[in-house]
Amino acid sequence: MTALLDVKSLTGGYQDTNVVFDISFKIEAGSLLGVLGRNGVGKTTLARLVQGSIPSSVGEITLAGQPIRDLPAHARRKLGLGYMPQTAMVFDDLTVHENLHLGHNATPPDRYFDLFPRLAERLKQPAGTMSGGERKILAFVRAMSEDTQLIILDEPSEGVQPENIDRMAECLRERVAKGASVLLCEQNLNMLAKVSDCFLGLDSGRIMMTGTKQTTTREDLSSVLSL
Amino acid sequence: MVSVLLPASALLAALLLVPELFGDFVAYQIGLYLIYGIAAQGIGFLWGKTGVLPLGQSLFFGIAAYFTAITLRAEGHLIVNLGLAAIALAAITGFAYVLAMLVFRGRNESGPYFSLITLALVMIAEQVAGTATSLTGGFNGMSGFSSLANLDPFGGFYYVIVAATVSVSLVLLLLNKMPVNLIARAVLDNEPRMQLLGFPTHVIKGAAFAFSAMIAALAGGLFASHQGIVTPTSTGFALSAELVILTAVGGRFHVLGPLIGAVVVGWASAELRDSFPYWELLMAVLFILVVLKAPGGIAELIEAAFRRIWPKPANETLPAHAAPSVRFDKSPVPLRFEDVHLQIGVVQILNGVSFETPSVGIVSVIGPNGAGKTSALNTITGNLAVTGGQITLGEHAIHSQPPHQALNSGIGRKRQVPSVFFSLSVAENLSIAMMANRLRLADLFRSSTYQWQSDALKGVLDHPEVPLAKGLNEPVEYLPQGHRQFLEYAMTVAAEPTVLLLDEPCAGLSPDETGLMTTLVQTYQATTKGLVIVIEHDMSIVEAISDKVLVLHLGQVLTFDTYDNVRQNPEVMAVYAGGTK
Repeated sequence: MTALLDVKSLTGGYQDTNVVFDISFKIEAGSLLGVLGRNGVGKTTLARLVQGSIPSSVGEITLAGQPIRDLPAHARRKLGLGYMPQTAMVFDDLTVHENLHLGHNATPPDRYFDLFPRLAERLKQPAGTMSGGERKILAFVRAMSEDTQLIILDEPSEGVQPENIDRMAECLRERVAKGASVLLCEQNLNMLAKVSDCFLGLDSGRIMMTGTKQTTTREDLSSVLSL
Repeated sequence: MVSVLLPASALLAALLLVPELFGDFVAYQIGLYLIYGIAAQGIGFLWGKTGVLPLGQSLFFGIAAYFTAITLRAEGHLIVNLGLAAIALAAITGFAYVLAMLVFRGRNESGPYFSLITLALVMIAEQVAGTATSLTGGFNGMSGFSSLANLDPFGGFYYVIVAATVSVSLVLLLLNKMPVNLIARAVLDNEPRMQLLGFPTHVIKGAAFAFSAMIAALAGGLFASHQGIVTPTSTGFALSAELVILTAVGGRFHVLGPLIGAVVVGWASAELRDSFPYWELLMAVLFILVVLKAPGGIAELIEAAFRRIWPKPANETLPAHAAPSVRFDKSPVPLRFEDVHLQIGVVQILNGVSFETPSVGIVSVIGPNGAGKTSALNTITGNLAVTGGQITLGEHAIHSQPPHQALNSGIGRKRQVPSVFFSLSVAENLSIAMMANRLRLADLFRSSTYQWQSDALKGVLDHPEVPLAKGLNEPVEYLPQGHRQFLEYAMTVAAEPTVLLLDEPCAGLSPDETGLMTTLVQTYQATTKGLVIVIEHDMSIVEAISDKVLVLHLGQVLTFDTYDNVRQNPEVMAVYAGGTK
């Protein structure tokens, strides 16, 4: 199987301070990698390095065989890299409809509106009138756009009610089944365990655990968050 | 004090040497640049600290210049003239404050809206100055008056300008060391958070604007005396824009930056004007280059070079001085919603919400996304105005008070997405929080205020698992989201509010960190014996901490009961199952 995303010896952080060190991993096409670790271990930094909003100091990033480490974030987006950041996820003054279409060539399938009916109800309302959890769902659906081949999600479950987290997990599995690759940074073990094909545990900016869903137990995952 | 006295002494020494080294004519030119530099220092103070960019400072500069011209023409006694100047300065400062209040009251406005109003005012002023011939001399301006105390502009008056320059710089350098500086920076960084900490941000911005206007007026008075002529250009937009450019080129974040900008730009303009026909083009290119390549201006480049030689010493000690008591009444009181409605546009967010909490205990608020949980907290703190019904805390109606009054009523609020001061360090964030509701006017100018500590804050910081005590000087911008949750929690409890509102405090935390946050909340409630209201989705937390549970659905109360009863309520089960991490 060919790796859609291939990260080799990636090191980077903010300004002169590196936060993640010598990170290497691959995500196959049609596979979901769950990244876990306590707060401050470098999950968000890793997501942003791959997405391109902060530059890496060392390493290689290849997307579908093309080196992207030196490309700006918008060029990576054009290559099919979707991203949902942890905060500041939607355009408050634009309507839900505008949020879903801005920057995307694909229309969200009706399936998402069935799973998250509030989006359909509020299509013509500014996103700023929605609750924090609803905005998070809107950002999630934006990131799930079908013109993406690699989706990076940073804590999508934060502030979302448990039923909707289950629906997010359902969407992820469906997208992965259709061939998309996902890099999911999460602290919610239930969600991670439910959707991940492989796991990458971080501690102090370095890889401290890897495994597949067949070889990794719930205790293994818990131990990464309890270090 | 070294960081205040050293630059002030160096400035004084350098300026005193100018006539000796370069002669009276150069001193005259430098004197004019310094006058513009003083006015620009006022802009730097306002723009660099509060983010408010004034485009009309020449309004105050010009009014003061005309007033000085009229006064000097009358040839009164020096003492009388100085007394009139003091009255004029006070009047201009008061006028600027009232103007700012009209704009800032009720608005979180620091951007183009305010700048455009100041721009419009200065355009009006220039027009008036050009047409009110009997008062201002019209287009030709006012002239024919001698300098203050008949000092020679090419001689003794230079030292008056030097005294004013050093005095203004000294005051600004001293303010930089005082809590008032931190407060102004915090307003620039996160005005809504400052309001929730009880700071009336419109008053802070108004005072900063008035202070900058006073400095501009001082410079205007000096200008009239120095130049011996005042024309409408002294109140014009071109001068206002030039002062902004001097501030940007020199550096708005440094006290001496605008002075450096004024002297560098003034000197370069004078040199180029005679030798190069397109000198204005060159100056424009210089301005663009500085803005693009050194947004902090020349002063920042100088400071960076200086810090490479003498790095800033790190201070990793926790504050240790007992803080004064907060001013709100700490008696426990119930919170009551009576038929509260909230509508934004066509969206009905709260639709007749009524409940009454106990005075003491922990109330959890649960419900599906979009049920109105966060909006309910927003109506309590005044961030959203109810469209019907009322909210009372004890006997006091609180639904119509502005956000900065919430803490004065004893209500502390932690927001859903951590709302902290990103450009400040962890220690500075905590300092600001400790000042909330405790600060008296005199405390604004005492450095010991930085060291305030409360039992509630100590209880959080001393906990070995809380990830804040190490890295106090770290910029919050680079803190992980979970650490920001703990920081904002610490900031919220620092004032020891009687009613603590927590909006998903465990979002983004690992299971262990969630346990830690839960313990902190329970400890706080047990210690203060107040009311804590927590929005939470994790039912294991709700079960562990709640005395009562409020369930909201579609903007209405579904039930308000004990956890066990809520769990068995079929209506609740139908709309909200909840879960755990």
